[in-house]
Amino acid sequence: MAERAREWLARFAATRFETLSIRELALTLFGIALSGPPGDAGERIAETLAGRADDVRQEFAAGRFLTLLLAADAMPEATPLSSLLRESWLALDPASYSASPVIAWACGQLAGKDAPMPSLRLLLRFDPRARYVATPQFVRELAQEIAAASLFGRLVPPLTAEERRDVTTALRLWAFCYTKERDLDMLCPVVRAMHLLGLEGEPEYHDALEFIAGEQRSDGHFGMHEMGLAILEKGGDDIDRERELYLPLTVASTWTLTMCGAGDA
Amino acid sequence: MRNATLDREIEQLQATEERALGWVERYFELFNPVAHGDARRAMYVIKAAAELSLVCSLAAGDDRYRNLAQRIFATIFSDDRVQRYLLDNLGGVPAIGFYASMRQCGLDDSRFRARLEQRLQRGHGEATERTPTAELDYAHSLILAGFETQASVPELFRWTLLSRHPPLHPLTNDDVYALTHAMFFATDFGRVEDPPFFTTADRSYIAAAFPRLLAYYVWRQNWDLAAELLLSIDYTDVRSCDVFAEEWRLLIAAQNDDGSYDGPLDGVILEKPDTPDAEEWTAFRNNYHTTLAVLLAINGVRR
Repeated sequence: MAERAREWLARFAATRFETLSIRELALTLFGIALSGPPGDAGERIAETLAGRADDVRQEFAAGRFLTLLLAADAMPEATPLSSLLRESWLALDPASYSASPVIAWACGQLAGKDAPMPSLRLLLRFDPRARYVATPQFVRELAQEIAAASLFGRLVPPLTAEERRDVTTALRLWAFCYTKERDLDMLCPVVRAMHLLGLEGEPEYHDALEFIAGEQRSDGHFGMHEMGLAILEKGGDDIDRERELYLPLTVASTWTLTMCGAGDA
Repeated sequence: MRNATLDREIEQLQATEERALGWVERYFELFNPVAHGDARRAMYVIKAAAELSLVCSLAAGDDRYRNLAQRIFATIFSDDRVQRYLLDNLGGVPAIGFYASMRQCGLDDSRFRARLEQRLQRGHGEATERTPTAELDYAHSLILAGFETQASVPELFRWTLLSRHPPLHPLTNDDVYALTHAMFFATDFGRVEDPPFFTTADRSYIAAAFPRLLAYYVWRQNWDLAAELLLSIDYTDVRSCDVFAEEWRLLIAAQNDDGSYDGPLDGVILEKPDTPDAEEWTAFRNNYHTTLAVLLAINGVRR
């Protein structure tokens, strides 16, 4: 699975290289580096990003640093890109970014800045009854905060027993609902959060992984028919499917399956 | 001494029921097919009237429902045009179910019964194709109406979707209705709490599947299926799990100010939007079933 996704990402990068934004380049690099050595395609992207230092700094200033940091972190060894990202991070005014303190802390760790972990902002105010009315934005932020609190898989998130129970109930519900809705986009961060909390024994987790793995197409990309239809309904009939649908979904799915040990499925 | 939280919840349920019954009373005329000038509406509301009579039959000990049943009997069921339609469509609408519910409320019509019996003997009830769950519904109605069935409820249950223990993710809304309805008829609407013909695998499936589907439909804010699932769960041992308090609270909170519940629209468009009563009719058509489903669920809890 991961190998075919990697081949699709490398082909995508090769054919679109000149037109890709910093974010798209970072996303592609992250997807490629998730499952092995970056190869020619990955190295070319890393070099290009390192060479576009001003654009990268602008991305940081706009608060769009997470994918860049994850991409550099997924590379097997430090590169000029790693140095640029560290330097860009240190140049940021901490008051200027709006990410939660835990996400900011995790980004700092990825950039090489050691600091104690702050408290979990979202989890502490999480009302378990809200699981039924949580917006997709809330679900994403909660999953992202759990991922950050684990330092993207390096630590066990420091939750109290009560927080853990409530979050488990919510994640199981969302995993079931998003699998039933065939919503790959929302399902991936939820499943990663379940994995990071050690919820691999839950039936919703297995059903979700099976569904995600089944969404890969023969050429290696992951797609989501429903999301494409939703965009079309909003009048986006001139969308670039590869860039706007397949790239983010392929990276999200590869990340999830690789993290959860299903990358060889 | 009773727990104060429980008292408060019972009060909330009673208030919800009172408001929903008030809505039914206000719109009672719309349940009457004879009151509609439009034939399609008339045919649609015969089903609504039959479902309202079912609600009454399951709360027959309560004066409010008894009075409502008497009104249905006097103004709807006894109308010759309604009876002719029911007799001409024994398989297409809940004709026998309507009669059975009236009978369960102690309101029998010997003339209608004789005509019905005659048609059944001629095979009119068999002259239609039914899904397995609809077949179970038909047999259940015949039993409640005091007629013989060709196959028993346990035999028919084995052909239903519920008996096949389907995986949950591919189920459509219609499939989930088939599951809840199979539960209704297999348990005789809760009068048989644990049917002896349920296998261990049936019980395990119901205990695992119904709470998950309930959570999904509450999340979707589909109060129609949420109410049917709460009712189905109430007919099983699963109900002892206190997690459903959460779902009940959300269901209570979803009630409209007028006492009704929004039904799943499923893309149904407003017919004849230029008629003066189009808005009222659309609200009734969209909301009546969910409002009745919530009343059924409340009565299930009370039992």
